[in-house]
Amino acid sequence: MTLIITLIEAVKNGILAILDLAVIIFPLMIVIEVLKDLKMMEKLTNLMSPLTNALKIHKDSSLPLVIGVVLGLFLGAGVLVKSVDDGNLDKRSLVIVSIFLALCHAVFEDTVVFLPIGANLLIVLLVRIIAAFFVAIVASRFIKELN
Amino acid sequence: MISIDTFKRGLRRGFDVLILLGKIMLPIYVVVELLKYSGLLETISRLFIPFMSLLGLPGEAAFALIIGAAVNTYAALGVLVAMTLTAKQATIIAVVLSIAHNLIGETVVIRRIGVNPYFITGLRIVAAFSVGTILNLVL
Repeated sequence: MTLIITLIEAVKNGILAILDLAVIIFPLMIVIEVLKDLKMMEKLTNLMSPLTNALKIHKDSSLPLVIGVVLGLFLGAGVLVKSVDDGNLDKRSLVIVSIFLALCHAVFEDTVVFLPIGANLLIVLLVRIIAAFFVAIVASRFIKELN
Repeated sequence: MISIDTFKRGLRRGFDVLILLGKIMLPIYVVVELLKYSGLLETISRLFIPFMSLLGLPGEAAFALIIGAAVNTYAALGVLVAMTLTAKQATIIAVVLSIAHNLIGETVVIRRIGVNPYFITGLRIVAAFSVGTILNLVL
């Protein structure tokens, strides 16, 4: 009996989470298209060029990186899939962006959550970013070309 | 220039991404709930108790790490608030959890975008443990 309740609860929570996502995803995608049509994406690309150059990845990785780092892995992945569909992103960039985002995403939410246990949030944030950068840089050196 | 087409495109893309993520999110929620229900997480976490000293953490922190890895950081927090941790221990476990959490759900996402999920997840676990061990030595 409790198993059935658990399952119903899980499905309910899953549907609520999808609805939560819908509330963010439509405005986000519209804002992205507006920014694209206003030619604002070049600014973002330039802003992110130190990171994309250091990781030797396609400059169109900038948008999924920013979305993932700020809003989380699910939304970052959603934008990433769209960039791949558009045919802009090569496989190598996709893998390296995935590595960076897997280690470092939703930086505000995932950091503030540890406030109640008295963690040093600045250390948590910085160490996580450095770790992601380090792992991604090493991966970038080892991963030459992928198809 | 912005036209009605800009908004149409945004809506269509929003819908695509929602379908893509929605299709994987529901099964993830069910699997994770069943895993919590099964009590398997407690059993797994017992295997990790010996490794906690590397991170400078008490053995019971293993359960917080495993529940964080399987479910998410909020679930781990629920376990952590009941524990007594020093500031150093709190920072270390927060770093480890911030790098490696919600591994089931996030692994499925990685797989969906066409990247080897086991490679990425392995990388996260190794990175989280390494960074935690280093912090235990330097903090």
